[in-house]
Amino acid sequence: MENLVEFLISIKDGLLYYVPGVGRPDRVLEFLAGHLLITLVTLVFAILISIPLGILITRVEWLYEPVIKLTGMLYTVPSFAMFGLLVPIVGIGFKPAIVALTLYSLLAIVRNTAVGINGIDQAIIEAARGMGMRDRAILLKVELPLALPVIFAGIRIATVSTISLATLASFFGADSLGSLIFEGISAGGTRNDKIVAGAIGAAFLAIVFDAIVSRIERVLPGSVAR
Amino acid sequence: MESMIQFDNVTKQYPGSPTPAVNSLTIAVPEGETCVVIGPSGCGKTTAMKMVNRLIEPTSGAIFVGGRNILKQNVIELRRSIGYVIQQIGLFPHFTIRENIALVPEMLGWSQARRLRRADELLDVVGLDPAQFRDRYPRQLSGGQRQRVGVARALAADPPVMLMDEPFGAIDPITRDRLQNEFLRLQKQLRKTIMFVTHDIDEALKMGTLICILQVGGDLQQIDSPKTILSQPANSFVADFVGSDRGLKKLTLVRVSETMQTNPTVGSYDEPTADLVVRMRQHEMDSVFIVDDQHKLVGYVALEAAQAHSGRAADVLSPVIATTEEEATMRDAFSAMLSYGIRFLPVLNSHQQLTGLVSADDAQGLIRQSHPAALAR
Ligand SMILES: Nc1ncnc2c1ncn2[C@@H]1O[C@H](COP(=O)(O)OP(=O)(O)OP(=O)(O)O)[C@@H](O)[C@H]1O
Ligand SMILES: [Mg+2]
Repeated sequence: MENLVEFLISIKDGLLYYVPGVGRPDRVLEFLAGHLLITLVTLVFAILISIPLGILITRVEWLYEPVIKLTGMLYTVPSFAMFGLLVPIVGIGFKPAIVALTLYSLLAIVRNTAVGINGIDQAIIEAARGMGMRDRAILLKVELPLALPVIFAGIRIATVSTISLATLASFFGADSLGSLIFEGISAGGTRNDKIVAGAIGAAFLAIVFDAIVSRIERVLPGSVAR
Repeated sequence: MESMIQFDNVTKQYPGSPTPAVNSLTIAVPEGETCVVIGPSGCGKTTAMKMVNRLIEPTSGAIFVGGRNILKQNVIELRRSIGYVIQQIGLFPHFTIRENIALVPEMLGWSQARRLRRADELLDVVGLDPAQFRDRYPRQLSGGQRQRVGVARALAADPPVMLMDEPFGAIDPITRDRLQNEFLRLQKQLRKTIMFVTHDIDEALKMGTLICILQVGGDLQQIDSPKTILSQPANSFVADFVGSDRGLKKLTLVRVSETMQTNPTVGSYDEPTADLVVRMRQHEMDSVFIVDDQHKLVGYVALEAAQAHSGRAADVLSPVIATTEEEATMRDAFSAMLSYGIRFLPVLNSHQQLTGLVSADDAQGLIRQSHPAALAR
């Protein structure tokens, strides 16, 4: 009971940090912008690499296993270890964050792209070929549209995990809502409101992005097929 | 060489397989004929067919379509000039029915207006109301309707040659009969050259003008007209494959239109029952079919019912439980009569109008005629 009350009070403190005059909404906004930037840039890179790679491994069968294994291995590297390994190569700040988060996102999107394409009813592809569609047209007009719902499910997973990991990136010098959390931690218990404020912001962001992506998912051409 | 589709010593051996799937096959399909390829599962029917549009490349031999060697032709152009229908239909689930049908015309660069017109026209041809179906998605159609769209899509660019791999395999028997009849009606006008794969001998005898029987290993056993296949099977494999009930099979060679009694005695909807009784007595009938003013069949009236009730035909009307079409075979008609326990079957045209009548007696007469001695002729 006591714990619950304490919890509610700290939520209140965290929310107060968002109130002009009482807290510092300007700083929240700044960190939010940093967090968004990391997330969006990561997703753009991840999508640009993963979808072609996912398509490639459905075409060149022997690449499927090694690519999925490799991206799977990258996914399992603990985040602090990943950042730690990247810092000597790309330094601290925004760059290692983007590289690390992109590497983490590969698995979900590559795998879902390949699974989405391989899951299409072979009769549809055969009909397309038999009617004289070129390979390119089959990919662009048949395979990708039909696989898009599955690909988007992968993008959604990548988005949510990128938002949560972007919080950690502040530890290595990137600006994100995580910065607020780490400031709060360094204050040694005197500024727990910052910790809560950062956490609430990151959670909120994850929920909003998830909703946006799933909204897009629902209007994709492939979804009418289900 | 006036064949539209020609196989010259075509062999296909899949890598790693000890025996060929198609073994040195030579067949010629003249323009306008329907060649049905039939044989047990795995005998190479699909393989043979897919070599025509180069979904599979032959290991050796040559195939000509319209006199041109397909291996020396642009594969994309070749495929666009051949209609292709498969058992699983393979409609694009994210395209509307109209977009599905208009796909090949679109690739061929037809104008939007012409494509739309063509799609509507073809929906009509396959018996689907364009206004109702053009904007639907495939999942909003029944299996039989989808199969019709599959046929419409293959016909879209009016290709001279059609490849059909078990096109009516995945639908219920009644719908299949109807689709077969419709397709026969269509083919009478279109006169396409068709290669048609099935494993149902009755379908083969009904749809084919030529029947090509393969044995596992891709060996051709016989290619002949349905009549010759039945009367002069080349070997015991063919004889067994065609089956022992050859008398009954012979019914497959006779169309309803060839034996039906045309202009049957009918009654009309608002006729007094007393008049119907007189007419039935006069013709020694125990029931009479009733039509409306457009000659559409609306039901039948039994003699007893008409005698027991003085009123109009409409008052004592019973629904008709089974009908047939002119393109159907006498075997279709006979088995419908047997399974419904009736002696007469009304024949309807595509507008539901009554055009004739076939009887179980007619069918039995045909069977009697066709015992082995008669077949051997
Ligand atoms: N892609 C392939 N690779 C290797 N072997 C194949 C391939 N496709 C078919 N075969 C083999 O070739 C033979 C002929 O196959 P095909 O599909 O042409 O038979 P089918 O007559 O169409 O049979 P069904 O009536 O079952 O459809 C079979 O033994 C089959 O296992
Ligand atoms: Mg087959």
